Amino acid sequence: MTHVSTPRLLRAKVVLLGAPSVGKTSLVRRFVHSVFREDYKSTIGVKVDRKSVELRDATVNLLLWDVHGETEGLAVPASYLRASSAALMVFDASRPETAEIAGDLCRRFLSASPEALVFPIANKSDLDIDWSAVDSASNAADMARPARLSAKNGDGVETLFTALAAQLAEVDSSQS
Amino acid sequence: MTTVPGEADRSLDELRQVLFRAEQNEMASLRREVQALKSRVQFLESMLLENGDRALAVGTVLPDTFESVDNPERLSLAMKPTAVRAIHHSARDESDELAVALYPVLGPAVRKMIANLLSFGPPDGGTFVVEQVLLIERESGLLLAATAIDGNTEESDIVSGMLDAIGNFVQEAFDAPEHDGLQDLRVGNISVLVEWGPRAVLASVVKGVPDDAYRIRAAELLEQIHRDFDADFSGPVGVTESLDQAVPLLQDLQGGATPAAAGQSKVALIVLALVLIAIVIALILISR
Repeated sequence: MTHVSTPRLLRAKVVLLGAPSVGKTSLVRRFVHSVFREDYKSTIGVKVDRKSVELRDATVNLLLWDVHGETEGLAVPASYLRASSAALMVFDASRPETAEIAGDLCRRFLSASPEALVFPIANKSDLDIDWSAVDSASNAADMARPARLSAKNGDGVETLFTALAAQLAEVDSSQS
Repeated sequence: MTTVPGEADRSLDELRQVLFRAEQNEMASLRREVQALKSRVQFLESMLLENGDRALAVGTVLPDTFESVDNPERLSLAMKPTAVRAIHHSARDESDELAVALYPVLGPAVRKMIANLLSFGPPDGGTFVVEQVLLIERESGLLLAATAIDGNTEESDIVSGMLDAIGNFVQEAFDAPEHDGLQDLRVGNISVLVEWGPRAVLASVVKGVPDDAYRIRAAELLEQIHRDFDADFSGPVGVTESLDQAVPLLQDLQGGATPAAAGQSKVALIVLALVLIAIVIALILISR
C-alpha cells in the first residue's frame, strides 16, 4: 500500500515595488489572469491578487500586493512592506534609470522584512534593450542582476513566479 | 603454681588494655577524624558540581517536591514575593507576552463586568446571515482558515489581503496608531465585522444587521482559538501554513447565528411578563 501525503498549503505575501508605469500591474495580470492590456491605469493605493502555484510537495498561494508606483510626492508606506515573504523590485528595462527607485525601495523593504527574498526584475524585455546598461543600472542600485521578462508576451513570467514559490516552500521547510 | 586457662586469657586482655589504652583511644579518635574528613570531601564535591548539573539535579526533583509539600499554604506564602516580583518584571519587560497570556482570561472577565454594569442587555439586530468567517494571522494579514455558507472559500485569501491593505491604508492616510486595527466595514447590506486578538483576527462577512450577541460569540471564539492554537501562532512570520483544525470552530460560529431565536426569546419574555402582571392583578382582585 502506498502512502499518499497531503501537500502542504502555504500562503505568502509578495509585494511588487517600483516606479510608476514600469509594469507591476501588467506582471500581475499576466501571471494571474494570463492577459496583457495596453491601456494604462495608475494603481491607487494597493490591490491584492492571488495565484496558486502547485509544486511537487506543496501548494503555495501567493498573495500579490500590487503597490502604487513610488514617486517623490507619493512614497510607498512602510506598513505595506511589513510581514512580506518576498518582493519583486520591478523596473523598466527600456528606462534603466528606474532601477534607482527600485534599489531605494529594496533597501526600505529589507529593513521592514529583513528575512524576505528579493527578486530584481527588468520588465519589457520584448523591446529593443541595451542589456549592459540595464545590468549596470541594477548594479549601481545595489541590486543583483535582474531577471529579464516581459509582461506583454509572457516571456519569463511563469518561470519567475514558479521559482519564487519553490524558494518560499524551501524556506518554510527549513524553518519547520 | 598452676593457673586455670580461662583466667589466663582474661588476665592477658586486662594487661593489653592497661598497656595499649592510650593507643586504642588514639585510634578511635583517628577513625572519627577520617569519617569527618570523608563527609567534608563529599560536601565539597557536591559544591564543585557544575551549575548546570546542580540545576539539572534540582530541576529533576522540584516538581515532586512541590507536589509532596506538607504545607502548601506556607509554600505559596514563601513564593509570593518572588512571584509578584516576576510578574512586575514581566509586565515591564515583556508586556506583549503578558498581554497575550492574559488575553483569553481578561476578555470574558471584562465582558462579564460590563454585562453586570449594563443589566438591560444588548439590543437585538435584524435578520442577518453570516456568509463567510475568516481567521487571519494578525502580523502578516495572511489567511489561516476560512468557512463560507456556500462552501466556496476560493476568494477568502484575497478578502483577507484586502482587509489588511485597507487597514494599512487607513492607518497611513489618517495617521492612526498601529494597534488600532480596522474594526468594521460596511457596503450596502454587507458588513465585515472584525475582532482583533493578539495573534489572529476574526472577520465575519455578514449580510444584514448582526446583533450584539453574535459579536460577543465571535469575540469568545477568537479567545478560544488563541487558547487552543497558541503554539501554531508562534511560527516564523512570512510563509504561513493553513490552520485547518480551526475550520470546525468557524463553522460552529457561522451555523450558530440564529437571529430569529433572539427575537423569539424576546417575545417569550414579553408574554411571561404579561402573564405575571395578569396573575398579580387577579390576586389583588381576589384578596378584595
